[in-house]
Amino acid sequence: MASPAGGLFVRIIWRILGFLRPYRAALVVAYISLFIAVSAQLTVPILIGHVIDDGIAADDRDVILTGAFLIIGVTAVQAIFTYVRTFLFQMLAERVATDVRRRLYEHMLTLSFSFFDTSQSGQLMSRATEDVNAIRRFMMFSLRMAIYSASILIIVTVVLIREHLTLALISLAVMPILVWTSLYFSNSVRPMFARVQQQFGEMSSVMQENLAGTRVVRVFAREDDEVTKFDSSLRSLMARHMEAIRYYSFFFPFMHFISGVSLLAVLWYGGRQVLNGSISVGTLVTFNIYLTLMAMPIRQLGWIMNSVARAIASGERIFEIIDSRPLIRDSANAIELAEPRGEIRLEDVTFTYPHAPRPALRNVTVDAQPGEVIGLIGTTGSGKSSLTALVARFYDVSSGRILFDGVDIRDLKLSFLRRNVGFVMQETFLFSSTIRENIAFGNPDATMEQIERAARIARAHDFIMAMPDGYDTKLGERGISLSGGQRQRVAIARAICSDPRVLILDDATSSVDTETEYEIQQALKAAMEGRTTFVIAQRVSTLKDATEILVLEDGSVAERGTHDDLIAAGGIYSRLYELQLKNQEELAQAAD
Amino acid sequence: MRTAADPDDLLGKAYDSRVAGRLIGHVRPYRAEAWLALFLIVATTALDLAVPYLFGLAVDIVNREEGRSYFGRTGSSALDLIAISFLVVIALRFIGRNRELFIMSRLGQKIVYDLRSSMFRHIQKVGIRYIDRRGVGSVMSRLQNDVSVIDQLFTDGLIEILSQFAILIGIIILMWVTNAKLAMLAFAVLPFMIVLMIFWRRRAIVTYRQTRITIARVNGFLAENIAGVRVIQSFTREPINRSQFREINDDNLDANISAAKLSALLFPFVTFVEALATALVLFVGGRMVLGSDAFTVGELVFFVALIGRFYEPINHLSQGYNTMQAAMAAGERIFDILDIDIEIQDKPDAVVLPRIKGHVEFDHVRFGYDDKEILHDVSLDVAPGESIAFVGETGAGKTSMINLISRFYDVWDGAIRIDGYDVRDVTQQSLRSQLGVVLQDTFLFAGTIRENIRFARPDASDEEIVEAAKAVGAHDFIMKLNGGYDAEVHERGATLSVGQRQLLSFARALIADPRIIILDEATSSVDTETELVIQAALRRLLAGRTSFIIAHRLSTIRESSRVVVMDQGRIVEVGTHDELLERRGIYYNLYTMQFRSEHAEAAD
Repeated sequence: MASPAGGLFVRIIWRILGFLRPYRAALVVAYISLFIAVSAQLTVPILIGHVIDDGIAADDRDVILTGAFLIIGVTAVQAIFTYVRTFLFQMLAERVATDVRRRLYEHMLTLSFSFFDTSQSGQLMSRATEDVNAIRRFMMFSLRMAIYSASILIIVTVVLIREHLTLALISLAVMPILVWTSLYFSNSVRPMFARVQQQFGEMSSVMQENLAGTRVVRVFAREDDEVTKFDSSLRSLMARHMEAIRYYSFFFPFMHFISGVSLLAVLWYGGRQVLNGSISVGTLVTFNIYLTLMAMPIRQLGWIMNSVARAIASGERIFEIIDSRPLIRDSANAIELAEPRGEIRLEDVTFTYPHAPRPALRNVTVDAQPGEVIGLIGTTGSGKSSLTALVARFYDVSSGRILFDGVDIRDLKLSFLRRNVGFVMQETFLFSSTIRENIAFGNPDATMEQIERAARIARAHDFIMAMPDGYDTKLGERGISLSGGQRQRVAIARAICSDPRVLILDDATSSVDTETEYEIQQALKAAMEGRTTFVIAQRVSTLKDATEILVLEDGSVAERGTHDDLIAAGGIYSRLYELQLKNQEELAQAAD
Repeated sequence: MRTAADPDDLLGKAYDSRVAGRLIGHVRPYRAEAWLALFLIVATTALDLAVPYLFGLAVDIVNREEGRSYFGRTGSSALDLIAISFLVVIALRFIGRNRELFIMSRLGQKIVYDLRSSMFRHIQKVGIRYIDRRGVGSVMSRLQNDVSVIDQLFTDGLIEILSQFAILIGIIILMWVTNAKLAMLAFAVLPFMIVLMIFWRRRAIVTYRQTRITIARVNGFLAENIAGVRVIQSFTREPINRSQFREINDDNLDANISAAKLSALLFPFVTFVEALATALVLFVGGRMVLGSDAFTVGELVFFVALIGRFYEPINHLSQGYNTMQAAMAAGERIFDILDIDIEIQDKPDAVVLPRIKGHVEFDHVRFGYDDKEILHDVSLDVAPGESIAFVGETGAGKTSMINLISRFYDVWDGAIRIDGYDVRDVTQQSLRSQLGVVLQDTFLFAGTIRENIRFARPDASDEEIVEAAKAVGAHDFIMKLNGGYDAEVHERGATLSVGQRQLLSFARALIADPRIIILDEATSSVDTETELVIQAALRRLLAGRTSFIIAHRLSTIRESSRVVVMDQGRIVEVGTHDELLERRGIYYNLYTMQFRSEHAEAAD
């Protein structure tokens, strides 16, 4: 790894190893056990040689007997310590994996919306699964193998040299070739596997698109073309696989061959030494066993390097998340208010999303008193959702300020602020737990009465009671799913149950059948009672009763006032009103 | 019946004759290669065992007391000969292994290709409801992971299992031939080991199952929390979820540590048993060399080497067992897909539907899913150029009506005819290529705008694409995109607004110039300006064509030539919007109810 980034690699490895800090003692015990086990393991060939030379060749039956017992004894020691080190390394790996996963998860919870806006959830998920797994395998395998291989290499070399220098040199001569081959192989096969992986991803996305869009494929009768497309991506996948196969089907047997050559050297040269009496038969046998022992870890060297490389790459990705600072945090002396009322004031607020070229909101001022309803209307991208996200401090304003009961929200504890600002979002996200738990999501201490009351206000009680297990019905199980309107009403109940002072309804009826829209409108009206409410809507009718309506255009307030003011002003709002109401008026006429 | 969630929890069999038989069926086209690979495995195993044999021979040759001969030679010339034989053996082993690995892996690749390809082909033909029910993720994981397990079996597992098995047999034979008495001795510890291994396995299965269950829980929790992180933060649930995760995560740790305690036992145990056998053989064998038996040091060395090799396969076979087990489970899930009945198939004598005019007839249609009847005796005759708006509550049968026209399902009874042709008597390709369908979920594929519009008619020219886009009013916004018609549409069309996506799906339906349009109107509300553009586009899309619309917008309903009101699987009212309102029947109630808030407003 003599790349210019070598220093960086070392730093990442060092940080990865830092995860072991709490388990230093166990690590030390693991390594001591490893040394004892290796020493015992390497004693056995010497004992075998000893039995052959001093027992069989010297015709001494006692040596054979004690030799046999010694082998059993030494191996018992080896077995015990092998158990200890295997268990400890596995345990360390599992503990570290658990820790890293927890740290990742807990850190993710603190990161702000802007972080999640720019990251794909699939990517985040693979940090917590595949990357954590790579670290785990590194701890379990490489950490042990690296030291194990090194100690075998060193001890065997020393012992062999002490037994017979020339024979040792001859038999060890191929080892550098083996090391080089192993490293060369792992380096060159890695990009091949990466290409396989990449093509696998491409094949998967062809498949995913086809399955997700299966209706479109069928209605346009494009099945045959899809099959052709898929087959061609499969063929590329196979071709890339074959590239790697051609490679490793050469290298594995080749490395085996190389270690065979070193045995050949021992057999031929060592045999001659036995013939001319300079070494014993026992020594020859010991050499043979040692070389076999040594070849194994060397052949695994490539895999160790691969695992280290993978751990570095994974570690880098994990640290990237752990190191990203939450943009929104409590300030040092953040406070809570004893009796929040829910007055919200935006003063000359301008806001630009991170990395966005233009502001999403420009110089917006709003004054919302408890009990008032602020309506927000405007085209997609006009800044409605951005405004409400600022109120809950999912982002911080770029300039200006937002006050909650007269206090800058940046001086309030985040948990306090968000407890008091309830959201019903455009896309309803429910968790796969029971309906009861979903409603009590923001208020886990809620009693059953409170939950039921919230559900009744949200017009959800009746359909919940019709479910197989009522409030204890688990969502997402056994094909139990709620319709869009039902989900929306559970979300409304969830917001009501946490009883916030400020309620934000972000286009809460956008993806609902007209059939249920009326009910949801009623539910929302009930939910707004006694709270400061911000309502985002496309329909003028939803906003009619608002205390003040803001018509946003390109981040700025284009018009503001009550419904009647705006109609009288004859601007954008009144034009929308006319467009939308033309249909309804005709309906009304027809119906009357 | 297994549900999607629990196959992992079940104890898998390592050999399931039905699954194995079908897997072997997939090898059949490549039998010659398979036999060759098998032969190579046996040959290289023999060469592998020749290595310790030659070494033992060399020991006897160089040992003065034995002074054995090799091809009539003794001493150093015999040693030279041994060295040459040794070189030949390892060189042949190299070549054999290389071919064996290559052929076997390539065989695996071919089978994997065949499996994936036929699964994909099959999925294109099975009912959409299968995919809906299973979920895209579950079907994907069968094509990806389960097939990969089979891949593993061929490239890794099978070679391992077969060659280790061959080695095991080879060693037993060689030990027996070399010295039957010592062989018995070496095997003496074997039954003891087998009993313990069986015991270990039983424990391991339970423990490993626990690790799989707990990690699935961890990952499920993570996936959901990442997707719902905004909700968690807005309800300040962080502390609770943190402690929930700790609990789940720690359960997984506990399971893993129990598994580690168990799995760490296996290797030291086998090592110890091996040493026990070695010590026994050295002791008894050593005395035999000294005694009168015709047993040499070289043979003893060979024997000891064989013991070292003997216990290795046992370790590997245990892994092989896991691979086999996984492959059987994966195979079952793969065949599960290949075995789904294809409900809708072209008849052998299906004709190509000629260019249609657009006369559609529902003739006493009965239809349902599984055992539940949805449509009861529905009849409707639609003249070319008419536009039909279906209204009614969820579950009234509107979606079933439009699904039947494109023949996504077959009727139970009665018939659907287009220009007099029963849809079951024509090829699906010729039928669907004459229908323009706009689905509620405006799915766009990854690719350019141009490719997406062209999707409905691959041979459409660039001019025709622009024409279609202009006709539905999409041209202007397309030209404003970076790259125009060549702008890339991202996953699920994320970079385009809802309204723009709808316009594109209109253009896509229009490009094939179909005589019949089927439209499931989107419910999501868009801003008013976009709404107007969509209405205008819709008018152009429907002009002069027969159309069936599941309508959600009042404007769409009003412009249709007939409104068909459905209730509980029957057509209850038919007429124009005005007629039906005047009638003050179900339609009137439905609509005054649905649009009450707006109606009340308008009445102010």
